Amino acid sequence: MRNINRVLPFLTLLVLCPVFCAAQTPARDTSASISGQVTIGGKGVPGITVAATTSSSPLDKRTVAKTTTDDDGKYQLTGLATGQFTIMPIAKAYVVGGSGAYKAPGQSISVAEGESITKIDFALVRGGVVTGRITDTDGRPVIGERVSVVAKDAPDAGRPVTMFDGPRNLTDDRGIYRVYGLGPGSYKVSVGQAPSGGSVAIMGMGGSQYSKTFYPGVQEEAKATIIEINEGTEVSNIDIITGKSGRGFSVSGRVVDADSGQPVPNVFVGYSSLNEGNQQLGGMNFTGNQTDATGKFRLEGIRPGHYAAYTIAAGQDTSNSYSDPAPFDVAEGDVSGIEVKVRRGATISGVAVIENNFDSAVAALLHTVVVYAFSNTKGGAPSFSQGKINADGSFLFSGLAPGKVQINVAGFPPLPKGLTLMRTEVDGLDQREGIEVTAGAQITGVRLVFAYGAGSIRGEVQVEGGVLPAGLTLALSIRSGTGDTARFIRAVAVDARGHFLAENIPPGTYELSVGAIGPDRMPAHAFEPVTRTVNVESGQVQVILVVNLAAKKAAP
Amino acid sequence: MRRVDRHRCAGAFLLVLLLLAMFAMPGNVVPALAQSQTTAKPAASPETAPVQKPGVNESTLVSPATGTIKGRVVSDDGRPVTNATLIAQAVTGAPAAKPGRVDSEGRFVFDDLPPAAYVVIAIAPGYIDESLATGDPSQWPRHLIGAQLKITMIKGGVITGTVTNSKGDPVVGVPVHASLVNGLSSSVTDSLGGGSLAESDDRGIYRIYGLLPGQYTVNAGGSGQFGLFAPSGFDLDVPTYYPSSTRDTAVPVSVRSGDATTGIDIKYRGAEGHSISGVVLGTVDASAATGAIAITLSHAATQSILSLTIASTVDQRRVFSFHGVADGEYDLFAGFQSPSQPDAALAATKRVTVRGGDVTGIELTLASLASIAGTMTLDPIKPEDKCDRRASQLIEALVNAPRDEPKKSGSQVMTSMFAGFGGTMNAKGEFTMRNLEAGRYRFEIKLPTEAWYVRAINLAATAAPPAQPSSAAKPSQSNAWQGVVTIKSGERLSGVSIMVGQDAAGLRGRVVVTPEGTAIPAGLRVHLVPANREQANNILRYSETTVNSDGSFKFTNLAPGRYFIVSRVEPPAESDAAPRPAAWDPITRAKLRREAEAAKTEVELRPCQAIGDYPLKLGAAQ
Repeated sequence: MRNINRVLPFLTLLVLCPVFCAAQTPARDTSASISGQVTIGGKGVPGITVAATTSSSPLDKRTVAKTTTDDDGKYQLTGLATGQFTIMPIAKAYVVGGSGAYKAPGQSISVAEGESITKIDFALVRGGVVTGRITDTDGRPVIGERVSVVAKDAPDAGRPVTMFDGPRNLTDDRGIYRVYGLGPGSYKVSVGQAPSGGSVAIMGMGGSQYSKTFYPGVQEEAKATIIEINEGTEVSNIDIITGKSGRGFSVSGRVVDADSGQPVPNVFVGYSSLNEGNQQLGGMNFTGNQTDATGKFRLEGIRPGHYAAYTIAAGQDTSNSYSDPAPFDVAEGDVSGIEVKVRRGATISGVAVIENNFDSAVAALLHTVVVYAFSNTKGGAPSFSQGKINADGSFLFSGLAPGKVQINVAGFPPLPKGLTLMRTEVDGLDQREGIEVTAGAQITGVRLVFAYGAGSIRGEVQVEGGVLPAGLTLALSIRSGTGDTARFIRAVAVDARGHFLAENIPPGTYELSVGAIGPDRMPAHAFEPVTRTVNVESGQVQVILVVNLAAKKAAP
Repeated sequence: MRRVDRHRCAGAFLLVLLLLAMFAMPGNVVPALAQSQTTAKPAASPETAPVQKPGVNESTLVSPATGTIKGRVVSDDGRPVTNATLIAQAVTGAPAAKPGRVDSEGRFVFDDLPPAAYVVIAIAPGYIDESLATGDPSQWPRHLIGAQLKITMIKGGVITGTVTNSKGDPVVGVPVHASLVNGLSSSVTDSLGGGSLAESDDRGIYRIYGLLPGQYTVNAGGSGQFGLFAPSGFDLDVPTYYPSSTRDTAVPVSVRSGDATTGIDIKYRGAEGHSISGVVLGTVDASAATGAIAITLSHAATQSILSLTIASTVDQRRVFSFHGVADGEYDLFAGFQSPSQPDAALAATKRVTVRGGDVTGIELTLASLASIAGTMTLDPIKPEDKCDRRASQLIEALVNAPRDEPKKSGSQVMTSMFAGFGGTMNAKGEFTMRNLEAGRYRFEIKLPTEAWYVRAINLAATAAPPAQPSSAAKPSQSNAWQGVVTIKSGERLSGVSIMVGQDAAGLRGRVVVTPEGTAIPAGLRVHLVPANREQANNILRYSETTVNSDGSFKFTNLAPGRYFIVSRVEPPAESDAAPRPAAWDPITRAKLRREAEAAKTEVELRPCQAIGDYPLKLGAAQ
């Protein structure tokens, strides 16, 4: 687990470059400001740094403005452009309360041009600390392992390690960990990885070698001893002895061409954990393992479970094949003889256009767009093809598995401002549910229709009939067209005040829809979705949406 | 809302693919990462013969089809390291990598390996394999199939202390990073599992572990430290170096293996830095959508890489920016390597001075890097005359081109990242050393067996007419290999030929000092000088080696023939670059030859002969 924390962020940095994205923001009005007060126990706290970070995209996060609270705990951040920011006091040992759940201080704020936003206040509570030592059954310290401290009632599914995780909450070279900034409440402490947790493992690195163990040393989550944390208290000696989950077993096989039976050398092989219904669980495991000259591969350290192995077209834009996922079971020994069949995939080609555009400078923007096609078959190896848009507007995807294929724009490089992919057309018909692709089909004449525009939709969501349940946040979805023909365009965050702003929207008719998102980032059906149709031209459209929580409660 | 779900799924998938794209880079990523951030040690190791290094013990007998590399990973206290992860990376032939794990005894086996040279990388949290400590993959130990390894990992060192602000309050959650002073960062530990990055806790305490022994700078805050992704709130600040300095005045911290260096308390300054921004110019092959141009910012005086960013190839603007930069001198480097054309990397460098304000409008223009290509050929020999018993193959031989220059630059480190492990060798003996900056290079040749020796090296441009049969062992005076080759920017030098003899001799011996008990003088080296006058200027016939404290010395991979053997005391090298072998300089060579001729200690080495215990009287040359 340690290793992945070292390697992954570096790679990600290489690939995604948070700085890059921000560097090209054109000059714009930066006269907006945000002010408020930071308090502890009702009293202003001087000398606290308050930072504004961009939060428009998870790939573009960096600090854009900083200030320090005055003697009364008051702060004012100035020089802000229009956009979405996270405002946070840099007080990581503290939490803020709010409708029953404590969280790290920070509020998402949507800033309009020249707006002066006030009363973005933070009432800090000193968080508690849990500390202890993790050792293995031989008494040796467990080094570089992530310790998980989660609320009593929250399921601890063994979240896969991501590149967004910093070096925090890891055990040190003595096996000692210290988790701070915990809001008052009841917690369970654990270390190791649940079998179904999944992980993005690289080169055999990543993924814990220890089985999930809860304090004080139990495997079952239900038997975990609950630890009570009060404001500013430290609970120490929360020591856990964790067993090695076993090194797992080796799984070997061959990758062959489905038609000729010939071995396929030098392809990457990955695998996923499946449930009984052959649906994918957890993450995708990229082992860095390539087949040799005779198509053979071997995966190491696989724990008992149900899986599927498949090939991965690593970074090859022009890979023209995909594989059938080869299911296998690991029980109590090594598995051999897995055969992964590679098939020539379908191709999709066509042209990308910007509708109603006569400006050659705008047209040139298309050539900076990277698009991808993605087909996700149930329980299967996802197939994926990436391509750029050539100077003549043409594009080509290859190696696609049969199924419904969605085409979208890639995250890197960021889509030029003002450009939006509106729809994918085949024979003039919008393919809202994806393009139906049969095995080995060669689909031509597909049109990727982009639109360009600088309109914006600004608005506010007002909540009536109650308070939004703790942990839920509002989100706005924007679709082009209305009703049955609506096609998803963009998701926009609604800030703590209920404000939102969607910029660079091409002219057109849009359907706005407000929903709630749970702490797991999944849609939560807390109320009937509220929709509104707006017409955007070149300027700004203002809209107020009212969410009635009581209406949902009344419904059966 | 199911759509949202699908988009997220696709997004995660895209991310993995981008990671894969990095892995698919030639030279592979793990060593590349390591190399990207460290100082490489001088290429030619002075304690061995100038160009030759045996790869394997001759007693190993292996079938040529496929084979195994096995071994054991232990900590320095002798206990098995049971949580070690291993990677066997082929560094010749196809650049394939195989992961592996150890059993409860620390044992591992890689089987079914095709013949090639391999490096075996062991990773375990908190522990370090010191043999990889140079951070320069071209200097990592090579292993051939049939090898049995014992990998010893040492407990890494620790740096710990408290970060406080000007009022003495703890600074909580600030990233703290340790970098090797003489390295371009603590690469091996960064990317291979140690922890050179930490974050202060609620008491301001940080603890960095798994460090190689050495001198470190320790800094808190700042952006661009590898491994930090989410904004910490400290990313606009100029990093504060221990004790409360900028990089220019940082006080180095000494780390010993397995020891904690405590009290490295940092008084955090939190000053806002400036930015450096600009564009990358030049034509790149943008056919690959995943291509990215890497841009690094290095501290000019030390060449430490401070920050790294990328620009997309498909974006014509190709803008970049660095933030939180203090006043001072910096080197910018931009590099691009197309996944489809790994030979044709491009690079650009520029020095930038920051004085009290942001620096904008920097233009980095990418230009092609150079390459050196050639063929290694085995001299024809009757099977019964071969002395190699392990059926070594050309694909197991390595050719590398280390810089023949005393000082390493930041750009050199980045370009060596493109070059990976050096020249790739195929089964036909064809090799290419890619992506080299203009400059002077040596050849470093590692042969798979002590039974081979480098008989001749010819550059195509100066090669003698090919009419001569290959048995003509005498390179003419005019085109004799002089040890270095100079290449121009973007040059594609090809046709280098390396001829390898298959009946090498060896000589092991001991320096005899009189009266008995006299210490071996420091800096004592033993030289072999060709006795045949026709070879007087053939530097490949000269060999030199260091003398161990017990007086023993060893030469391998020698051309059969008559040699003068002579010892001399040489002053230690002044620069950090590897000293050139004495025979490379015509004046020193002539002097060495005069000494050798005067001493008249001659030894005859017959083909395949291994002399075991040659006594060499000290002072023979003086």
